[in-house]
Amino acid sequence: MNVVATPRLAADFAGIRAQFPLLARTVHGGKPLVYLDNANTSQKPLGVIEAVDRFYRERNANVARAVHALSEEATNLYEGARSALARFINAGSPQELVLTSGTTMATNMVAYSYLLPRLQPGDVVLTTTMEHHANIVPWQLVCQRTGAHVVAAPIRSNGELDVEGFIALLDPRVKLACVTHVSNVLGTINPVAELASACRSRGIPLLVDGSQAVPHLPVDVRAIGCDFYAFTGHKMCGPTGTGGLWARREILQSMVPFFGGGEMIREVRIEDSTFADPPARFEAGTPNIAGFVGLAEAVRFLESVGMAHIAEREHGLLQYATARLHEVPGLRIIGEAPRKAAVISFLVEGAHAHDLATLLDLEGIAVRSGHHCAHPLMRHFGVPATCRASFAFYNTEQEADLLVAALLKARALLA
Amino acid sequence: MNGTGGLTAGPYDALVLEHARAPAYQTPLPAVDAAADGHDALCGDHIRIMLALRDGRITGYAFDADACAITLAAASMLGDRLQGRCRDEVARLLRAFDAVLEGRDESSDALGPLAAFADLAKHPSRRPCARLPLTTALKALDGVPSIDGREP
Repeated sequence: MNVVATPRLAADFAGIRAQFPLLARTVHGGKPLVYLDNANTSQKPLGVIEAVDRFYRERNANVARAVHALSEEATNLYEGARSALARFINAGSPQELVLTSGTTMATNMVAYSYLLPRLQPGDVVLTTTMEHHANIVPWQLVCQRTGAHVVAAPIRSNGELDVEGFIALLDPRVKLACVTHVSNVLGTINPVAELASACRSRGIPLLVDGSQAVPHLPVDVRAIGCDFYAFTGHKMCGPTGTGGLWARREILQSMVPFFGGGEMIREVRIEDSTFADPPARFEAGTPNIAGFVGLAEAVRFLESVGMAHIAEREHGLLQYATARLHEVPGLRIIGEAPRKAAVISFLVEGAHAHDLATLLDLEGIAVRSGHHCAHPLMRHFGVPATCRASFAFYNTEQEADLLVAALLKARALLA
Repeated sequence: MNGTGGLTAGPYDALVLEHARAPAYQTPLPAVDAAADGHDALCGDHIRIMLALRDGRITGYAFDADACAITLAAASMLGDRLQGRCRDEVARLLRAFDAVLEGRDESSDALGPLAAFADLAKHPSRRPCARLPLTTALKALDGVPSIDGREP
């Protein structure tokens, strides 16, 4: 586990919140912002903002291309970010971590670099009904080219994955199994180690979408035992356009490049080229250097708070907010798995999710409404859209109270 | 807004709420000459617009929707606006509505109660909800010959 050195006391969370300058702003003519859209993107602490600013003021240069001092410094910072991220998820080596623009690029990279050359007609990619489109559509695109198809494992009415159902679908036709670690809509925390074990015993590689897990739970990719782990930086206090794909070294070695260009090659002739070793093989072009400098700072920040403390704090907020939301007449929570992250999707009888979200916004409360990039899941629950309040460690019980008060008002207006 | 604990109502003004709570034009038409389905990918809203036509002009309008209050109210208000109009006049109505939704124009006589959506100039993400009934009506008129003779 990568729980950290100098954990702070839970009581420090007010001080931690104070490090997020944006949380002090107001919206709609002076209403204090209540930011409950953390599953969409997190806010950034001052250290991250300053690290990006400092990079452009003092260190800006391209990486791994020049021998001058600035380029050396920028390269060290960029590779330092890789090392910090690798340590954060307990990768065996920084060389097992491909830096990407986020989870979507990571899953697409697996689709084209790993899966496409291996798929045959009749093969299957197993995913689940609760996945984000980024863990469905890339598989469909490569299946359409090869005559393979995507199958989704079922979920239960409380939003839990049907683990037995998932395992029952692991037959020899399955060339890749994919599951989210934490559902972006339901908050369900899936038993990824159990699923990885079932996949491994059948020789099927498992990809875990960690977008909603890395910011909220201690994540140890080696303890999980999966083959691919994808995550995104902007949900974990880092800049947008950052993220990573972890895969075991031998898998990365077996993969062909997806993007071609500078820095991913060993030698280029007009007729053909040879490619660099991973992870450089998969990082064509100039990367988001400043973004990764910021993400490295975000990792340091999260480690200083402690992921175990973050998980505990957010669980407390989840329990408090869930209990308070049940006080709103006609409110129904979608997703009540026993193991949940602090994501609460809900519907209010007689009020459309988008109308609720607009009325909450006018009170300064930012939630997401809509399908949350999860059409199959919405269809499963038979709803066109939900409202989603997603909490981070810097949120407060008082903000949950404000959410409930605003929902009661909105309901009265719309009913 | 009063009686709701002081909630700022934004685009949900009294007229919009009145139409959203009890939308008109939901009675099926005896005969449908043109129809189309509209879908808002962001909201998940769905609407079906049905029209009766005579000599290229709208003589009857009805809708069926599973949609947010903004879409329901816009669909309800639209009924009166469409009576007697041909395809090109509906296209012009949409342009006038867009001018209001985008804050370029305060209102237009042709819009009538639809001008109540002027506050959506401040909420661009909700504009597609208000536009959906009108864009779907236009879709239903696709292929209906215009009899207007003016620039659409």
